[in-house]
Amino acid sequence: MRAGPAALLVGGSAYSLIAAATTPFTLPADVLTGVAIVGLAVLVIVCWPLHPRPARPARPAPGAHPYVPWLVVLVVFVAWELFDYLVHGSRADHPTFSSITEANDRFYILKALLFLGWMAAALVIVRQGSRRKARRG
Amino acid sequence: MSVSTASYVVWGAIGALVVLLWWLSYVRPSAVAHPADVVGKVATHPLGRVVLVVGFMWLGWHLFAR
Repeated sequence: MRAGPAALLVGGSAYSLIAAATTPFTLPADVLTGVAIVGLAVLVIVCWPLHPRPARPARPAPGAHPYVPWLVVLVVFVAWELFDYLVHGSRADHPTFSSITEANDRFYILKALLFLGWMAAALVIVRQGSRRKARRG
Repeated sequence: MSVSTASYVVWGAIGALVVLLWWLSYVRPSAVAHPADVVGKVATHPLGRVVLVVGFMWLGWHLFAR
């Protein structure tokens, strides 16, 4: 593993372990989550072009709609989340995505992994929208 | 099957569908876009990238701070 990604992994893991030790609705949780959010905002401002060129799939086939399956999953996810949120009944009977992740937060290591995954996904977002990627489109 | 179990089964099915699409994106890239390409598509759309970043910030705040 190269030094850059390795340092990112070690640093991100350490930060996630510290952040996972905080309790929601407290100042430490606000600060540690807020710093990561501000970091994402700074990276987006620095790395993303003001006027991006739309990206295209790497190997588009004639008549293919490779994004449609993901759109369908997103619609199903949102519909089921809204149903669980709005339907009458207890949260135990109708768990939302949030309530499932709250249950996950009871386990320190799972919460740390979730935090690390969230930060890693943020890096993927920054990378995919960066100038280098945008030019490729 | 209880209501709770049925709800979790649906969540599990959605999760399995995501894994299935992820796998298909490798074996049939012309039919299913790779997740990174999906993110790239949204991240290079004038409005989509704003929604993506703000939504992702909100998600982190919602999951870990509030």
